[in-house]
Amino acid sequence: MGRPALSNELFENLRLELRRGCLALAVLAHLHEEHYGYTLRKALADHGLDIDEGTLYPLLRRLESQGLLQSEWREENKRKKRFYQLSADGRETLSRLLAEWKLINASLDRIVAEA
Amino acid sequence: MELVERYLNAVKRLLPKAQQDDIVAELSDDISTKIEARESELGRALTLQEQADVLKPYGRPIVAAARYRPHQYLIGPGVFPYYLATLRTGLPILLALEFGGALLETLTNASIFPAGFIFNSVVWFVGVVTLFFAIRERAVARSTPGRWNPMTLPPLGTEAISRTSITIDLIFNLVFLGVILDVPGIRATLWTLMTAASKASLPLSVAGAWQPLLAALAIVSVVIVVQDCILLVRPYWTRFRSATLACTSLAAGVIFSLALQSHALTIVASTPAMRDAAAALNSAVWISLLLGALIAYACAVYYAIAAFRRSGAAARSAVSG
Repeated sequence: MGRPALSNELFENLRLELRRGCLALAVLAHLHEEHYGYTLRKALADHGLDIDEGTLYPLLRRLESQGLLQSEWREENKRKKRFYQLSADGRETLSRLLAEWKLINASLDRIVAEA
Repeated sequence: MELVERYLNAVKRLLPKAQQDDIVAELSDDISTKIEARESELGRALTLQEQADVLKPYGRPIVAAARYRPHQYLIGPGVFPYYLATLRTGLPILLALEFGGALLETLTNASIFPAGFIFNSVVWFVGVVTLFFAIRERAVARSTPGRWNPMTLPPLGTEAISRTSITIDLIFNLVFLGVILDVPGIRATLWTLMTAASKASLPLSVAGAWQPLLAALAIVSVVIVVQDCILLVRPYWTRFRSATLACTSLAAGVIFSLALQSHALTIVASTPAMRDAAAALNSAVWISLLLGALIAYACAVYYAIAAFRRSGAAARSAVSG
């Protein structure tokens, strides 16, 4: 009886681990255009990548503190919002990460095809 | 919106001061936008329960605030192996010291450690080591991936030594050292244990000629204690370790041999009535010294042969490598 629960938990841990690295890449890739948190989350969800609120905002702050994003407070719809966009360093890092991701993806495709 | 304000206040209290207003302003905007979108869908204001449902995905305030901290763990996987190795090495040394001390306390009735010392020192040791590695996690681990030299790896075929046996050896060596250094009362207690006499007065004393030998034995014991500590850190045999153990065993054997020559003066009776007891004790001491010298020489030979063999194995390994 305990086996399926364990296997689900294991799967969930592995799934989260797999997603964790991809989220930063997805956020960076989407911030080619300027977004604030709410619209960014909606845009990612529309592309099939749900990210919860508790994860997105700390991630945005971390990427900004690492110099990959820049942000500014601006008023929109009578409310002040913080808009994020890729910085110059962020653009360069994104292109390198995408190249790496494509390599990993191609390798995985070959490995899975052989399996 | 009072519920939202309560949530934001709770999160704010747990955030670093410098970032509080900024983070809460952004969080507040996100929650408000979400509530407005939901209200526009429903065409009415949200109930209290519906507001609570909006807040739930943000998580408990303590969790929500913690996610904004750069470190969400005390000791990360990069530093954890060193942390664990330090505890695994340090705790046996600490316990050996303390059990050695406790054994001396039992023998002597003297108070070496204050009450609760063992528990307190273990807690302190674990606490200080944890604090050190938590700081290292933040300060050092990020800056360098860690420098290490593969040449320091133990050679193939090295025999591992059980940490338990080293710890036991360490405890006995510490007790022996305590006897040699005459931790207050220990010799009187040994006399009491042997004769069931009153511990108040010890009618025997160690002859003056023994003092240099005791000093030499103390030095050898200290060296052995240091060797045990090194073995606890790197618990495998090497040619050098076998050679140093051969040397310390040889030194102990020589000291025992020198002591044998002055056996008549080992223990001196302070009253005429104790002369027979002193003679009996001197005989016992002489036999113990003889046995001790034989064992020490045997150990010296054994470790010397082991060092020689390890030297040959190292040479063969170098040739085949």
